[in-house]
Amino acid sequence: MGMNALVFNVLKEIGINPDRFSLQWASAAEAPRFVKLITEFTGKVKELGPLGESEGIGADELQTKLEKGLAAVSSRKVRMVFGNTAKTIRKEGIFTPEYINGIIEEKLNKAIVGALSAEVEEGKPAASEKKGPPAKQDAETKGAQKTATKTKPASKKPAGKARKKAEPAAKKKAPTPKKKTAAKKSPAKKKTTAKKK
Amino acid sequence: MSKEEYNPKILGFLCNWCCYAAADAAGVSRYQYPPNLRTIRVMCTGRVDPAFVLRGFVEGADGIFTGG
Repeated sequence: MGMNALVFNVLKEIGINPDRFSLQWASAAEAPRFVKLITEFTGKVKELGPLGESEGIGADELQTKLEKGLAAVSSRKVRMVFGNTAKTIRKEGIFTPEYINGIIEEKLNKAIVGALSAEVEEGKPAASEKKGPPAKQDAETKGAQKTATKTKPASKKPAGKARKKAEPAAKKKAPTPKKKTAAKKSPAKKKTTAKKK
Repeated sequence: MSKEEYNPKILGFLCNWCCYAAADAAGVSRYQYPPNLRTIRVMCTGRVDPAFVLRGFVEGADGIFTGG
């Protein structure tokens, strides 16, 4: 339900008709209901026409807008607010669609608008390719030497951690086979002693 | 292009246990429904992320149906 409301809000902000997305329920035994839902939804989308036609958005603009929306939905801030809102809904214990849609619109609108406008400031390539390119650009402006020094400790740290993790694991593993071998040896010794007696 | 000729691309995220089984049953019992649906089976509707839906629109879907 919450996911539904979030997608509706993002689509509204981008300027796409939210009717293009639908979340419905049909159990495994409700084949006629499923058929009804699909025929209705297909009819609705047919009326709306291709994506962007009924909205009056050109193909290029539509693509950039959608990618912005995708980046906004994947952004850490929106996801955090979304998770917190889900928690508050669980605490309140009210699960009516109206309440959930209302609270999500109220709490997430700011974050969504913020995420969408933030990418406008950064520029189009940043919006489409996420966090990769801006970091590289920063590195280039700061100079190659600094980046070299920065990257080296970063690469060493994880390796060191991995070694530290690997060592105790090896220590833990090592004693167990010894015990097993000892256990194996001891009955054998007992047998030999028993035979001697 | 007239609306009768136009076939929208509809992406469907169907739950393995609910809507996917319903679609299967609809096929078995020979119900007629529009062939515009491109199905992606998910093991639960809760798996569907808002990013999946927007990615679907980016890749060129005209409508997205999520069925639980």
